[in-house]
Amino acid sequence: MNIQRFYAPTSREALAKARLAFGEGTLILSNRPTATGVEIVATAEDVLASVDPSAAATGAAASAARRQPAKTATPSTQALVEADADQLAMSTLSFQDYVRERMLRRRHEALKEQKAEPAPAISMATSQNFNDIIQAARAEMPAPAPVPVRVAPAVKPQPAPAMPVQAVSQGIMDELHAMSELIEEKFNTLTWLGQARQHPIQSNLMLKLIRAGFSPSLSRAILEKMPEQIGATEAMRWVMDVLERNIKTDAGAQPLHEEGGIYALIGATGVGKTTTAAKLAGQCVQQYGPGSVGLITLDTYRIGAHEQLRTYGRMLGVVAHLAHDQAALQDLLGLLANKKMILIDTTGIAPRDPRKRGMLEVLDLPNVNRLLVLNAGGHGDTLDDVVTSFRSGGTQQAILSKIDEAVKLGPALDAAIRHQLLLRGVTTGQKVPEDWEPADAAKLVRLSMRAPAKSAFDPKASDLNFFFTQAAHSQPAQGRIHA
Amino acid sequence: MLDDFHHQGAGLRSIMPATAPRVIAVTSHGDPSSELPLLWSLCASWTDLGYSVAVLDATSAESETNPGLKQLLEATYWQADAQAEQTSWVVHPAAQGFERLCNQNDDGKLPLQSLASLFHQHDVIVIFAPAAFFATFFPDSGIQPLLAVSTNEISVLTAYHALKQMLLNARLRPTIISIVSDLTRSASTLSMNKSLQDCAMTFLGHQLNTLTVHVPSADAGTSDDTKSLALRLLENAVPLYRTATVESLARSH
Repeated sequence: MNIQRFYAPTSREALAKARLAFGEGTLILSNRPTATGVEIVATAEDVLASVDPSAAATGAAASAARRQPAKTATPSTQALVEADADQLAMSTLSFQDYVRERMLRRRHEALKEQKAEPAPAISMATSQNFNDIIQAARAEMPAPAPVPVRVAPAVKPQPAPAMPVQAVSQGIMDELHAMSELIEEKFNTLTWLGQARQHPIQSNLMLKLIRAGFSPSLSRAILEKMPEQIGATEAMRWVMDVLERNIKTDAGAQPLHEEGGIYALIGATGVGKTTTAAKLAGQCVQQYGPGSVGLITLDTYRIGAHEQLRTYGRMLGVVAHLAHDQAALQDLLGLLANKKMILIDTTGIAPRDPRKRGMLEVLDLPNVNRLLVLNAGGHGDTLDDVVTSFRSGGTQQAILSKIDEAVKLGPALDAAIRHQLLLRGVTTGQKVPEDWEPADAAKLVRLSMRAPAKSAFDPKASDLNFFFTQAAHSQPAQGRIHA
Repeated sequence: MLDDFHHQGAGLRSIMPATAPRVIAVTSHGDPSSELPLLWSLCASWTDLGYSVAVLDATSAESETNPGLKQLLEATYWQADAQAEQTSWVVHPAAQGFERLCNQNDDGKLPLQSLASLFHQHDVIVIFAPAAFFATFFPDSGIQPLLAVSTNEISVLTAYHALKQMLLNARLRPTIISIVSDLTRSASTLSMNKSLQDCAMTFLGHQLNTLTVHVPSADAGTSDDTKSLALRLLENAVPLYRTATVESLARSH
């Protein structure tokens, strides 16, 4: 086969070269850009005819028709002779043949144009920039190339086993579903933490509140409402103001011993109910005399309970009575009706002690107020449990005991805020009656926010995320527990 | 380790009222079967509660072999000599001593300051005397003498007589105690109480409130009822200051 490559700076020049070589019967097989211009691969129609005999006849006539005009280029007699020959040939050529030839010629030209389309600008008779044409060709050329590459990998796995794919898909779906749920759960928290990180003052205050012992929920509720454009010092003051305003005390009212009435001190074990009763009695005796106070104990369980209260009573000149049941209590309340203040000491009971209900029922008498004594140094969950289990109707009055022993006041104040407790006083030590103070919200908040010593239980800034992580609910397998 | 002067209640000393014995009146109306066991139980309860008790028995007279209030007033007898007793409280016969004390005053009233001086070291002074004694020496004082009533009819009659004396003559309001030694007899006790209350209301115009107290036998110790009664009596008792007078008792009540 006579196939030749022609190189030229432009496609027009390359075509001209091909035509010179093969004449009018030039067939363009390919064209592509090169570094120096254009490369065209061309051949003659004879070659194509030899490859495809069906095309030979049409091509031969077409080439003969093209050849004839090419031969007219010979001058003088030869040209005349050939012109006469053409005329003779035409005179013998029927009209049908003529039409057929003309059609073949057109078809051939159209075929030539189609071959020139991949580099459309190459076959053109246009004035388009060759570089633009090359760019367009390059843009189109990669498209078909990857197809066989893409198809192959896509096709190959399909015949692979279908069952494992389904199982993997289901597992993946389950994991995705679980992840989606987890993300939904943590979205709000992470969003808030992200905002907190963007606001370092908030983040610092959050850390400070949690280190002081306040619950993450309360801390977050406070800081969410903090004004944005606020400095560090003002922010701290703002937080303390909010805490102060939310701690209810009897600051605007009379203190307990001046107000008078019947008060039953209730609470868990070891919180200081008896000592607190002695302090309150001392306050009242100091102001109104020993005849103004009545002391009753319901504690028949703890060894020495009555004796302890009786000892305090003797020192105050007050008789400490003992009541075993509600009838006896009611009788004693009648006996002591002329007293300004009657204090009822009760048995310390754990929140989940079944006796708690019975003890609280004994106190279910008119005009008997309950004072819940809370250990200020207690754990937040413990305080929550106590407050919830000893809750009575109406406003719950409370006394915070052992303020001096509490390393962190945050949990106690947190419980007081969330449960809307009315603080009637705080005890600050063992001494009777000196270690008693009225509840001062500002002072309590200052105490709670003082910089404590380093503690192993204090979180770091990087640990804050864990405070907002929901606890895992999944139960470990039995085997793992034993392991 | 804990010194007497240094403990958590040391601060109470600054507000501790002046110590003074509390006077409790127990009426004798001729029913020793109910009065004496009750008095015994009360004294035992007070002692158990840590109180020092001195009983001045105005129904018994002093003698050379049995000295009492008269000898104490004459300073010929010391209370320390009376400590060799089997009980934890002291009992002094005081009939002649009270008479001497009343004769010392022109108004015939009992000079309580003398009692306060003599018995200041005790916490409780029990005056066990007939109703007439209280009516005579403690009129309008505000004290509430204890009047024990047992279940027999004679006791109810004598108790009513004593009640009438104290109520009408001295404007004293006794505390009526129904003694029950046997719990199975509580029904008869209730009926006795009702009779007494009805009579007091009908004839004396006084509404009586009675307390029922179970007094066990002497060997059984004290009961919760007697302990509660002991504390109740302490609550209503009058402190006997050294400057006390019968009139001041009424004001301090």
